[in-house]
Amino acid sequence: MGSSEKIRTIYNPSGFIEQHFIGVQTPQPVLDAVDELVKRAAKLKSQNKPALVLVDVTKVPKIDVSDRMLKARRSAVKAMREAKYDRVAIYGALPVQVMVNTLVLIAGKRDKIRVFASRDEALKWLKSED
Amino acid sequence: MEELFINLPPRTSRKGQILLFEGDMVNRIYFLLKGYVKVYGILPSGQQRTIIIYAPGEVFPLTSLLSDPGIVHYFYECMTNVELKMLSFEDFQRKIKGNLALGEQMIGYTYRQNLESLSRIETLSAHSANLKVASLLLYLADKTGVENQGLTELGLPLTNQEIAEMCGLTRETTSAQLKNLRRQGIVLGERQLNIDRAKLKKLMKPRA
Repeated sequence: MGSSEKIRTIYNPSGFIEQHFIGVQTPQPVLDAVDELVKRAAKLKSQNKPALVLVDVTKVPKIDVSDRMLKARRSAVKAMREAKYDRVAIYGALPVQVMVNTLVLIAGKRDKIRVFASRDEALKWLKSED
Repeated sequence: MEELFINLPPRTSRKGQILLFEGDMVNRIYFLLKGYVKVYGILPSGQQRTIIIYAPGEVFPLTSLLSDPGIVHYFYECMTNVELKMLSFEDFQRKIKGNLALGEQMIGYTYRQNLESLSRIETLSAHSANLKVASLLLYLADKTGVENQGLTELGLPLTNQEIAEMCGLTRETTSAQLKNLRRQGIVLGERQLNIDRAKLKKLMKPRA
């Protein structure tokens, strides 16, 4: 369980890593959470299991676009580019969708990371074969 | 974000032309060089309700492009003859890939646009007719206005019907509100409106 009280990471028995972001985010918990995801995904791959990730950002009430969070955004882009994962599905409110999608485009990983409005849509894509 | 559109040829669209319809898949973005584009929804009554207006130098529809499911949620209509540039989603993806500085600009830009939309939606849904008209005029002054001898001249001529559509009010109610504002010296002119911003802001302040 959990990398911090603002972000919880669990392994869902359905076959994927699940991460929940709760409240307004600050840089360090986000950096820690990205590290934890990278490690957990690498562990799954080393066991020849698919590394699927579901990220819930519905409980993030507002986003911080200031330079204070720049390091966290950089770290997210780096992880998107370099981490060993098969798919990441993220779901949340519109401002978070827009920000995450921008990072996904910078990383050039639109084929592997998708952003959705609802958990159902995110799960459907995460577990689909195509 | 102009750098995204460098070397692309400008094209023109006429007043009244709808660039994007509600429900369209977003497969390109636009950079507005000249003129104004309004973004509106259609109410169940059939009335239009203008959410925001894009002015020269702005890019759209980034929020729709970058959110699920990638469709346009409103209508985008030219309020004047416009000159703009278009960039396909494929080219946009190529240009932003690996460009964190550009991405940071976009994150800031879309964030501000989102705040602008929310503020407008709040105004449209929450306030009385006089505040709807007053806040629209202030929004138009901020967005399109040119300062001239203590007044702000709006950058585009508007009929009472157009103002009514932008507020989600009837033409009759809007005309009455404008008449009242003219009587107080806050609005001057007929189609080409001049606004006394200071008086307008004072009028909008909630009374203690």
